[in-house]
Amino acid sequence: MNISGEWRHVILTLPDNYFFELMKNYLGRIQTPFNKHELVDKLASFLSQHNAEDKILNSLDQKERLILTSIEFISIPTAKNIYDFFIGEIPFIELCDTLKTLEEKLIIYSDTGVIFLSPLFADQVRTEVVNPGLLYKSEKIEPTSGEMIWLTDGVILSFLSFLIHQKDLIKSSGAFKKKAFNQIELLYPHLFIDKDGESRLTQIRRIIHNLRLVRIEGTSLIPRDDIWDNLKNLATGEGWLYMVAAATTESTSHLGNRITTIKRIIQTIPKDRGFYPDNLKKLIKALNSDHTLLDNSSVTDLIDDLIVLKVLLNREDGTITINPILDLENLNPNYGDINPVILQGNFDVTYKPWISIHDGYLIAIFCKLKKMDIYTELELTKESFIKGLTLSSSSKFIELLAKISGHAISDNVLLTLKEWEKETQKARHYEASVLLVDEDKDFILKETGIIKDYIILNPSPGIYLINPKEYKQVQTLLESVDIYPIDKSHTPPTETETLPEYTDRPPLVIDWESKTNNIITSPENLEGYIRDISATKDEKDDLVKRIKRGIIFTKEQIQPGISKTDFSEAKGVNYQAKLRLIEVSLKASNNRLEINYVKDFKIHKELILPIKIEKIDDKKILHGQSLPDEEDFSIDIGKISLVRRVQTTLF
Amino acid sequence: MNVSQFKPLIVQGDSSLLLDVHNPDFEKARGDIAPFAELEKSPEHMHTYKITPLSLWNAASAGITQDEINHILDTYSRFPVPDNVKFTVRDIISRYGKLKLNKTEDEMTLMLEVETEIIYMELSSQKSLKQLLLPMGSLTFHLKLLNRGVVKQELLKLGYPVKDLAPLKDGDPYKFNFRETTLSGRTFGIRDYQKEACDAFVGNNKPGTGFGTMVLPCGAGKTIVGMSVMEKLQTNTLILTTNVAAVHQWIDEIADKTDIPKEDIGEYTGDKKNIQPITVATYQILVWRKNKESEFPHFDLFRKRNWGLIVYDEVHLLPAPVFKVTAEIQAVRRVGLTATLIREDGAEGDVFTLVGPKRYDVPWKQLETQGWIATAYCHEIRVDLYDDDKIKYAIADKRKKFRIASENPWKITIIKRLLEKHKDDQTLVIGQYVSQLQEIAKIINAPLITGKTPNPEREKIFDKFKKGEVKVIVVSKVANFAINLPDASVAIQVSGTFGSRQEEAQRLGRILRPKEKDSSFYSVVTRHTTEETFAANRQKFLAEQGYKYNIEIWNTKDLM
Repeated sequence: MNISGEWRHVILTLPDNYFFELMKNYLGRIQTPFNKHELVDKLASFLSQHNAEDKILNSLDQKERLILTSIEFISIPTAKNIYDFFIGEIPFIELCDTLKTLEEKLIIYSDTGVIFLSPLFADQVRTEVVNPGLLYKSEKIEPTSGEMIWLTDGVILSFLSFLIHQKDLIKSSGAFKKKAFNQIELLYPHLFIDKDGESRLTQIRRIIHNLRLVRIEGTSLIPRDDIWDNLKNLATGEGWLYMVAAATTESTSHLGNRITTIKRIIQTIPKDRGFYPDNLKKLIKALNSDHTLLDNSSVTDLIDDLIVLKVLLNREDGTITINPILDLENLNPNYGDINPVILQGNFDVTYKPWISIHDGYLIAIFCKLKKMDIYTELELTKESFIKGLTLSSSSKFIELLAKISGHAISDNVLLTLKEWEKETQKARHYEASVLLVDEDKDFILKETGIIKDYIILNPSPGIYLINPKEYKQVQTLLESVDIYPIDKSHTPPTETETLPEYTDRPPLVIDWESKTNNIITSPENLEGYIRDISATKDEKDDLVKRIKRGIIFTKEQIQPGISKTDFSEAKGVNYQAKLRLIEVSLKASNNRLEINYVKDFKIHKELILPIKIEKIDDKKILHGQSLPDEEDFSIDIGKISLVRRVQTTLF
Repeated sequence: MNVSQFKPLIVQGDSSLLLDVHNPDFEKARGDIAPFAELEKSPEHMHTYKITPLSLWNAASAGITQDEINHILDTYSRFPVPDNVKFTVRDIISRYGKLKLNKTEDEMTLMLEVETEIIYMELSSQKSLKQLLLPMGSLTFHLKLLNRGVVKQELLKLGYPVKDLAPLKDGDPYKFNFRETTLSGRTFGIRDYQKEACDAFVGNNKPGTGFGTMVLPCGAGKTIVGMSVMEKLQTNTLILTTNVAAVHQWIDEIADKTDIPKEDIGEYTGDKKNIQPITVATYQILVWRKNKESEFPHFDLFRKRNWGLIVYDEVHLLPAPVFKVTAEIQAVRRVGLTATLIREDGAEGDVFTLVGPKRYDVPWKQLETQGWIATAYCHEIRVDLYDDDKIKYAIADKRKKFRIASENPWKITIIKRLLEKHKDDQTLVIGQYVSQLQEIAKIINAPLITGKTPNPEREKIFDKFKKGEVKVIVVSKVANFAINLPDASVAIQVSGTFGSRQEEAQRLGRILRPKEKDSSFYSVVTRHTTEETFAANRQKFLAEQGYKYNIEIWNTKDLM
């Protein structure tokens, strides 16, 4: 037992009403005058004398153990988050009851709504109680060979080629025309036809959109160089994580967190265990770094997306497992074949399945997609090549092709490309800022060469074409030699895009086998002892409840009439009692009310935060917020069949 | 797995097969997949085959089972065979044999038996079959013998291949043998691949064989394959070919290599109407008629003798009306011969159904490597447009642009240079436009053959060319097919029919007969014009067969 300074601090900072209730439960009646520090010392002494650690921990039931485990795995374990974590398996009122009991057992405490393991028991709870194998209950399975992962660099590259080289694909609104979908069906003969086909296409759309892979220019789509450069420089596994994360969301704002979460999922889930969907949801919530993944439906959507992406696999026994083929360090291996592209004399270009964005980008720019398949077929046509020239240079393309195809490019192909290139040189289109400089200033530029690195073209004396992105630098340089160009037209600066960053959080280390707990209840026959003491029925009932909850475990604690039972519950026709209880609760900020009422011939239970009582005619209406959703709630106090005060530091 | 353990085959999700030419198991795999997959292209690194319903039914008709096919795919596939491909193979093959065509007691009537009530109902409700099939109950239809081809065609369109078990008629017998030494004094023997092709067709005369198409490169001896089939069947044979010169070549070849007396070989052309046990006719005479409304009077030729075999030479050129008559003579054995089963009208399916499925196909480069066809070097010579034509070209419409580029006067200078270079070689100058060819013929002083050149004069020129008395002839597209000029080793193409791949291949084919020297094929193209694009398309078939074009740019300053 760790009766540390930290624990003392926790106890001493409890709200007074709660502090004293707690003390009375363990120490009996408190004699005045008292000193809070002394009481804490007495409590520590009591706990040590009675071997409280074992008694309390052994009395924990299955639900309490699950909740304690969840507190260890949820990043911000508030009552609401714990409730969400259990996906409604534990009703909120019941959850709050259990948390309150755990708090009274001194196992947890709350600080501004966030629940922590008490330093008193934290070590023991972590080693003996926390049971992730029970929380994320999973089955040991025989690993299979797995399923091919369809989302590869090759697929994205094929789409890039498709988007660049097919004409007239988009409407003025930016949406795809029907024609585009027809073409996709032809070009992707098997990727989008089965039951998951539509979802895959949606995921591709999200990747293109979320990673901002292309921009719209008129009716054309143009790749964003900066983004592709980013992607080219990422390791295959990392780039793939970006794509997977982008494929699972409609929004780019939290992409970094989504990547962190997915990476942790992949690294945490073992390949030899199958999880039932609800348990997997809990695990994903525990791994989550993404604030958009807090509610159940978004976690379900993520799981569904990961199944479509073949990151997770559905098994016949109803469990879900990680795809055993998945290895971020060795994604899409080339089996020693270092030539990811085939170029043939008939201008056919083929991507092998392990093509990377790094190797395949320029090829997608210069070649038109013919068919996406295991080996993806493209063709190098005059039109596609000329399109490529508008985006990159032929020398880079030719050099790359020769390097990664493993064969010298045949003369006919080489010469044809050069001929095509020559033809395009006869008329040229630039997108540039035009700088006009009079003769008397132009000589300064010539002599100093101050802007020579920024000039795209100098078609005639005094006329310079300059990259609009670099104009600001040019302007500064011009000003440094006393040339102050007047802006005759204004080109909006092109935004530079970059990929979002993500944090690399370590995977969870979990013992997947669930521990067997020997739950011991009522080590002593305390209930029998109560029968013989002198106390009212209510007092006896209250004591029995406390024994059952496990917060009374020695005879010394059995002292009738020390708790405020009269104020904790009111029911039936006793309208005044209900009203008084509500009024008392309104005075303490850490009080909540459990309200039972009958509607449609059924008893309904709500946990509410009471706000006020309003008199309307001859009725008194209680207004509050139902928990955990914090929705407005109002009820005629006369219609309440039971009201119970829940006093806790949880909120 | 590492790269050295790679298997040679990549089975794609759309049922196409990529075969890695550089893999040690390439040859073995090619042999095993050929019976159920069609070769689409065979460039230098990766050959493409396609599994199609037709290729699978063809395989099924040859007795290959779905399990065997899937086993072959599993054996050679580099990656797991996609499930959908295996399913497709199973599904499509299972359709074969569900419909069987058998004879009845009435020899003019056939019986179509279907396997299930559902298919029977489906066929009964088909409009296109109402006039052709007579429902007889008990899952049986009757049809007229005459409609055998049309019914098969229609059923194929519906996805039901017919297992044609109705016997083929044998025709009147005609005995003959191959000579061991030809009349011209050369030792004669059938090459292995020719024998394989013949065996693939004849197939021990079992039901389901005796009709089909052979695809062999130009110069590989398709005529010999045709004659081998004739020799196996020993029956009256009608041979159909593209023009009179080709008719004479067939007659000469038969006379040279078999012991068939010349008087037993009939010529049925515009000039002669001689029908003999072996008769060679042109497609033109068959489809000749007085006007568009009248009947085709020469279709009678099909019925004038009890033919046991019909040979369709250059089957890719089979005219539409001949398809119709072919549909009516499905009881006769028939073989199609071609180098390029590409039809610009997309009627390959009709060739398959009516003449017969592809029974044999061999990549051109394979025969070149084995020395059975000449090694050919292809060149594309590009030259700028004549200055005077540049404005005309710029403002012309698409069709005129092509013509202006095709008739670029610089081409004549290039021809002269090439002829100088090949002054000892037998050379063909081939073109599209008669006026251009006339001018060329005049300038280089060479005989010209066009469609208007009378047959005797053509033959005279060909004869002189064969004897070496004439070194160069200028020919229009009449020389595209079926003209055997064994000694030609150089072809210069000055213009062509837009982007026709088949024409390019056939023109190269004119110089592929094996000889002591290698052959050279030149295609002269006007630089930076639409002709370049068409040239690239024309070259696709040959490029897919592994031919590489050496592109040269000739500077007009050097031509002055």
